[in-house]
Amino acid sequence: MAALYFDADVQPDFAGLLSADGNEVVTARELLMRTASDAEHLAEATSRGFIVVTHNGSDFKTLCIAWRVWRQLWRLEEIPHVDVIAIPQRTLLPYARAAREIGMLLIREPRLWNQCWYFDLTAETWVRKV
Amino acid sequence: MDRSTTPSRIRDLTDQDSDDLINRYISLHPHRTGIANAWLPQYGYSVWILADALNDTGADVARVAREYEIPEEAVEAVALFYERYRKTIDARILANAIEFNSILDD
Repeated sequence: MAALYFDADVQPDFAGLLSADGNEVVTARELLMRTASDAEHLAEATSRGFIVVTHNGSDFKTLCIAWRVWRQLWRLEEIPHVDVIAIPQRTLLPYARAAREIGMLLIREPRLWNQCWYFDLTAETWVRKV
Repeated sequence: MDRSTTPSRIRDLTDQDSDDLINRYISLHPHRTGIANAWLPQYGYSVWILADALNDTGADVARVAREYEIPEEAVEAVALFYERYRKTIDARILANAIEFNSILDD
């Protein structure tokens, strides 16, 4: 089972769907991080070792790339970020199905770091973006 | 969301009352650009996320409020804001759909 961190835009009930499957789930709201930037969400989730779940794939994908590029540029110690799982909005992927798809992704892909996964609506499968 | 799906309780508000309701709950996001990324700072939600939820529920304000654990009045503010900036918010919703490789032309 996985530990998941929901950013501020994800519906709170969705946490219940995933925690019912045995995952540990925290929300940005519970951690009083609802006004945090995406960079702060990624840093907080990484410090806790929780996979980020978000609707905002574009910005998090950029952050994941920048995380590694800037550390190399500044010759900093290599510290991985937690995985990011990006899901479309509810009109395109209802939360009940999103929960099932995330569950299958977590079974298929053992817990890894430094990755960003998107649910591709045309292929109807997970695609690794970073 | 066209005007016919705007919740009836807010459909007949004066412009001043609409402005007051919007200003009470919605502002520009400090880290993201423009109307398309406006948010509800008290609750952390983006307007476009809640507009998408209104589309998904047939503009059911009570249901969206319950599901997102926010006051109905805040969802009404979103509905008014969405009505006012419909094309901009819809463009943000579509941009996110495209990001996930949704085919929009069929």
